[in-house]
Amino acid sequence: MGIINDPCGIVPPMAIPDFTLEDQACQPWRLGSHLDAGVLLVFLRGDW
Amino acid sequence: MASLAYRHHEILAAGFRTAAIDVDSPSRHAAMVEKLKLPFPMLSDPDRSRAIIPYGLADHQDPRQVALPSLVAALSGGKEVYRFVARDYADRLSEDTLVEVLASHGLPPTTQPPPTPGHSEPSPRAVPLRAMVPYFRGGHYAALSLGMRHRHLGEEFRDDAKAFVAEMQRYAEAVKALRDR
Repeated sequence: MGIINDPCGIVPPMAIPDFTLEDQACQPWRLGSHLDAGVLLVFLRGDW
Repeated sequence: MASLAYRHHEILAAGFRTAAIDVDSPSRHAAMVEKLKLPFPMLSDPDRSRAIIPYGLADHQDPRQVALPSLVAALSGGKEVYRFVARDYADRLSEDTLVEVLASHGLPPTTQPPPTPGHSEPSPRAVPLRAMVPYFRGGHYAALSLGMRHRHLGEEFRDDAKAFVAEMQRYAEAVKALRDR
């Protein structure tokens, strides 16, 4: 099992860095525009 | 990814939208979204400078420093509340645990528009959908036999092998379910 960190249980939650990346349709996707709900970011290895 | 797509409705019910990030190009991502019928966008961070490095998730053991498979959950407003970082590319959090962790924050259910299709250009190394179940089945039996063969190595090794066997089963089931949709 990897490293699991629940910042709520240890230190006050930190703000995640905002970013803008291109989506699969080459459209800009800005994290900050989607934070009116919770957001789950899934980081993948890629380059298979 | 197939297993996350399969459980996406539960992630939305827990109040979280999903976005996936790696170094691949939008056209590779368009192919992945199409193949796995992903209900969330895939985002490109080709030089790792915008998200992978700022989030501290570059794999320094890898010569290309691609991302370690990781999950970062933030509440509305952007406060990080959960992070899982894999030990290596084969290490994953179970979807059951993920959904349980997300639901524990008590957010109202949310919605997410389907990703916009893009120009699709799959990697020549991409496993076609029809081959994914046999691919995961191969991983399942390889982990099973290695787990049995080396069980003398101790409890940690046995638990690891067992987790990987279960992971391969979940992925194969998720692909079957997506294929039948």
